[in-house]
Amino acid sequence: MSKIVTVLLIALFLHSSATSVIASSDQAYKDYIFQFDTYRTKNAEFLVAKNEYEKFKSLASETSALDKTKLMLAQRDQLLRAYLLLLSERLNETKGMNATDRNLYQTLITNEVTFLQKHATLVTSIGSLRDASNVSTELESHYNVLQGSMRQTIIGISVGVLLELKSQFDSTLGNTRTLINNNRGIFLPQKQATIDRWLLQIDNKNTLFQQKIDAILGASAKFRSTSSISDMDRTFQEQKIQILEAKQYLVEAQSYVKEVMTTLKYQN
Amino acid sequence: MDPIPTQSTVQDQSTAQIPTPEVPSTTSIPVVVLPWYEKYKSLLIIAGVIITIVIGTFVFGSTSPKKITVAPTPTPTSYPTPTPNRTLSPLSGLQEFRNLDAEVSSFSARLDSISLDDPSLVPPVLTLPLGFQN
Repeated sequence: MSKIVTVLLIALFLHSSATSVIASSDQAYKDYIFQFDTYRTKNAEFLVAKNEYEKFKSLASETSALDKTKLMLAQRDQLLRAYLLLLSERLNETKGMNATDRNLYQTLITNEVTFLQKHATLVTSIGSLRDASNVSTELESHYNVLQGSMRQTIIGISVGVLLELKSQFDSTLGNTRTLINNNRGIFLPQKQATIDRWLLQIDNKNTLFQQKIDAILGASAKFRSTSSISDMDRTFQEQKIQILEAKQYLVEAQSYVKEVMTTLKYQN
Repeated sequence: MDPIPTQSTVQDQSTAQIPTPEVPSTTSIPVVVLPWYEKYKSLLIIAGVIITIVIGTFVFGSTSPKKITVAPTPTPTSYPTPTPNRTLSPLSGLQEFRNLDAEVSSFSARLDSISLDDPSLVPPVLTLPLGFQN
């Protein structure tokens, strides 16, 4: 009886830890959405206060505009940090990534979070609208680097998912090869030659897949040297297309494995 | 006194008064030889028209859209084509093969269903400059 209780407790613990890992990125996403909604509200209030100040130029409107600006700038930093936290959680949940790549992307995120934290302390020290403009300019000058880090991490997460799929595919392929090698005497030479040709085609697709992955990871470093957001988005879209092409190679290789299984299943 | 004109003198006088017409000799008339295309002018015109019609038909026929022939829709017969019998290999009965087959099918389903484009990870787009007029 005590053994049954122990087993149940261990199972309950594992289940709760598994759900807490899955929930952390979901929770981070909910928090990000909440921060985004709050930012939209504060930004709208800031725009109203700014228009009133520019219309009336009174002391009261200037004070109101300054307060709303400070709230909006603080919320903007909070929003960006919430998004970076979401990226970090998704990074932790991506299984196919090696430790080196994971550390690289986590370092990028940590650097940006540190910058935003410093920027948030500057926001608290704003005393005038001119100060607010100067503090906002600090973020504007760093914004391209921030966006580059985000996009590089997103591509890294997609590549990590692909590599996890590839790992599972390699395991299945390895089992298939073992089955074929252990039963080579069963089939006629012609059938065996057919199976070997399929395996060769699978190897070719594997090579193409790996070349595509290497190209994607090599190009992702371009983000940090890109000058404009539009150029960055163009590179980002190109890399997403390459990711889909890499997945297509994997899909084709998997279809060849199914052909091998069909060939193994029948005598003729 | 003038001499009485004799017949010969009258003839001489008549021949002297009536100019004799010049009769061209047959060796001096130029002979006009028509070129061959003048000779067969009408035949050449007819041949040209026929060739133009033939060439035009050929060119027009090659450039005009071809008539699309639609294959007839196959209709099921009362005697369907029999599915060829495939003999199962001895390998298909092994538990190892069945496990691998299930693994391959499961991975195929996962690969088909997975989406690499996560819309929740789209970076936020913000308007940064405050826009205060100095």
